Amino acid sequence: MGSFARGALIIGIALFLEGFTIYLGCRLAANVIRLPDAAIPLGIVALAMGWSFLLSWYVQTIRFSLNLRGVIGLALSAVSVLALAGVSMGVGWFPMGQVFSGDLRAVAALGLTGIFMLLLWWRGTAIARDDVTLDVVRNAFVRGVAVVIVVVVADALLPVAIVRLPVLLVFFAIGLAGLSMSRFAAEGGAGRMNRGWLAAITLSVFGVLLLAVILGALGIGGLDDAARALVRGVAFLGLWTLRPVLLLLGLLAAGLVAIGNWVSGLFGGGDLSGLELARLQIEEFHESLSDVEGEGPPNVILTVIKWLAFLAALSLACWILFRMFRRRRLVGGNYAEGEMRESIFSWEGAGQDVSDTLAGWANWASNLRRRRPPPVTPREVYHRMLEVASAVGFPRRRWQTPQEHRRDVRETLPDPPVGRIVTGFERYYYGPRLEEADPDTMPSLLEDLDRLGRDNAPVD
Amino acid sequence: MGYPAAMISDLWVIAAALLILAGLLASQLLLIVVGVLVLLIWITGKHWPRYAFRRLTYSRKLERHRAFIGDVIDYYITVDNGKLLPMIWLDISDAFPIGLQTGGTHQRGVGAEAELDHRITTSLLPYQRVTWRYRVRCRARGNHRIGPARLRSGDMFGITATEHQVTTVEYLLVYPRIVDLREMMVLWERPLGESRGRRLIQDDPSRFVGLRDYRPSDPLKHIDWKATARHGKLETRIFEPAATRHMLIALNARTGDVAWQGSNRRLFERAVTVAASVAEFAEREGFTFGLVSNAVASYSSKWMSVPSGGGSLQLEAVLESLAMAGPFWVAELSAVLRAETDALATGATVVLVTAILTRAVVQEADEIKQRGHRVVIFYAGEGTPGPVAAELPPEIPVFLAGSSIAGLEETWRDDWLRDPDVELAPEQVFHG
Repeated sequence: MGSFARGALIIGIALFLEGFTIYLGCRLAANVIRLPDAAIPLGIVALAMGWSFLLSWYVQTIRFSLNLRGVIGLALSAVSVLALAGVSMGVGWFPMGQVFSGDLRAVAALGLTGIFMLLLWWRGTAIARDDVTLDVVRNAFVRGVAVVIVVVVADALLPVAIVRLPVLLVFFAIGLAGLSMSRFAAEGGAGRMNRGWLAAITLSVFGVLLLAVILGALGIGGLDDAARALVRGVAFLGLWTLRPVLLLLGLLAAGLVAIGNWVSGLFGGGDLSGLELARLQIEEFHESLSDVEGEGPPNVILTVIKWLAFLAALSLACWILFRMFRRRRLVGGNYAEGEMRESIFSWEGAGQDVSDTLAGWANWASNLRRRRPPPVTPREVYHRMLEVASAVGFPRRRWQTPQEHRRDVRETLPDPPVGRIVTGFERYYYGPRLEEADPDTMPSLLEDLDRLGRDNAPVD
Repeated sequence: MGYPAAMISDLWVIAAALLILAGLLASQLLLIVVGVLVLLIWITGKHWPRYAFRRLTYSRKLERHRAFIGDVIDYYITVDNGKLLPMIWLDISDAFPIGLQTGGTHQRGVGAEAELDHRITTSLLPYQRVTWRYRVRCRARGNHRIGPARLRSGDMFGITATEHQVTTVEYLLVYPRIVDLREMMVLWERPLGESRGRRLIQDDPSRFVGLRDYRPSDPLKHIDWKATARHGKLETRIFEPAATRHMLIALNARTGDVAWQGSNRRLFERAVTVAASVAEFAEREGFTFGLVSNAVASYSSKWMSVPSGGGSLQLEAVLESLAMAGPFWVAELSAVLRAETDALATGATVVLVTAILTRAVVQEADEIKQRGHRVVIFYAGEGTPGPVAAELPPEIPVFLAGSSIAGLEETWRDDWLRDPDVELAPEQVFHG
């Protein structure tokens, strides 16, 4: 994906996120004050965002004086907002008749629609005026999530449905994918986005949404319902794996019957009912596969066949994915003459990785269980620093002196605080024995330890 | 507690937990799904960056570590992600010297501080290794350093970022240009103009080596009349050079009259080219030779000095020193010469390469000559040397190397300005 297409896509995503947030806000306000007519449909929201963006973008390119350009923009905006509000409420392009109709509810609904339409217009023109950066997309997404939280709470409290799950999933899918793409644009600059990136983003977003839905289903239906749904889903996928194969077999059988009948007819006819019977049996088997999902206990053999089909399809998909990423050579990515990707997977490495992760979690959980008091001696500070070093992948080996270990850690942790902690420890532990730590040294060592913790935390 | 706008604030966890709890109590799927989504986003944003650089290795490899200007060499960058956690985005920013040219670089800084920023943005699957092959064109001499690198990564949605410094560096030594010394031997005929230079080394008539066919430029006294009579054609006697075959190349890093003018990079590079060409000539002609200069070597604070020696290894040592010479001077050349010429073999030739002739240099050249050495000056500055040069004894020849090289510099500049993204475009397609 080139930088122009990516830029256009990110602008589109920003417009969607801003529009969706206002759409939800409008639906919420309209339902809370019981003016459902004031809610702007999603299609009109999209139209308003797109129209405001394009109009503002065009007006900015007109070669008039700033004042004249402002007047033109204002006039066009006023007319557009009025017309869009009218269309949204289904009262035509010019809703002034509604205002003077004397129907207070209609006027209030129009007023509310107009306010939200103005908000839409403001956000659309703002996006047209400013550069759409990662911050813009991120802020739009965060605002959207905040509104979503309020809306789902209201949805649970109010008797009317304000928003549906698929719509929210679309919002999260577009928002998260947009964030990833904006990050690429922010980091990669003019770099070309390859398919690997898009695949990774798509898989990540899909995975998170799927996990959320599964956990949601678990929360609602409990383990039994979720397990039942899972079994049914597997059977459904198995059926759809088998269907093309059975259809192909059926077609082949039908073709063979037709050809056989034709040849048989040429030579005076013969008994080909066996072929016809085979075709009918395949059709019957096909139908029986669908019947398994009905009421009553499932047919064991058919269920096993479906599961086998599902596992075969899953294995095939995994194998294709593995082959795709196992060893791949590309050209032109990142301006390089060649890019080669290969797998460095080993069971030993994976086992080590998993055991390290579990150990880390266990360590974290045990620390959480017994919140340790702050270190009181340089030796304790040093041991806390060793834990930080271990967490970032540089545990101290048994044969390493503190200074040798410090040289290793230097690659990842900032040296001045680590060096001071190591020196403080050496002075305390190997120097003249003191009953208590030097009160002047400890605060600075604790500060260094804090700084290590901060530096190890995410930035930005 | 992070920033709410970045979705890593603990407030989001509280909100998510409340949503999930309310959803479970009220059996509301929407609440649970949204709560779980917010929680997942918070967890990835907060904790993913902590593990992003675990078991990640970044390495560079150059096809070779020595090259000449104009050479194109292969450069490999490899990133290993040896963990289960994928890196959805990884941004690599590697400091790249301006003297090397490759694709995907952007200049940052200006003047002497200018350097290139080599950017790669990519993603890595679990347990995946990616190797990029670049073509690097060497366009300036120097001991070029690639690195250190800054790696940035973060969670899969780009909510947060963390960075990691890779302090290891790679060096690529690019030798200076060498031109044919005969092209530069335009003698300054004071003050009557320029003419093609004479032989640098005089013959010793007492050391007869052999015969060859007569050439019109040979002096008549070198014709061997007996051999001519025997062969029926003119034969010339060849002698060993009169001077001792020792040479000291003295490079003056100073390019301006006064220190505050700084260094003229073009003139300095020209002087380095002349010095390298003289060294190559000396090696070809079988001299033992050394190098002294008041220039500072890269990553050093001392003036340059290569003790005298012979052969191709000596040429390599001198070229390496010249490759590393920086356009800064730590002392007057006269002071360096005084310190370094004490141990010089009697009768050795001192080849002085300079873009400026100061009175101190002229006096030093005269003193060296009086100590029994032969002195030759290659003037690498613009046009002709200034009036101070007239004070030089007539026995010290001055060759106008600068004006000879000026023409070549236009071609070299075109080489420098070549577009890397066009010139270093992929040549072949790989199939994996």
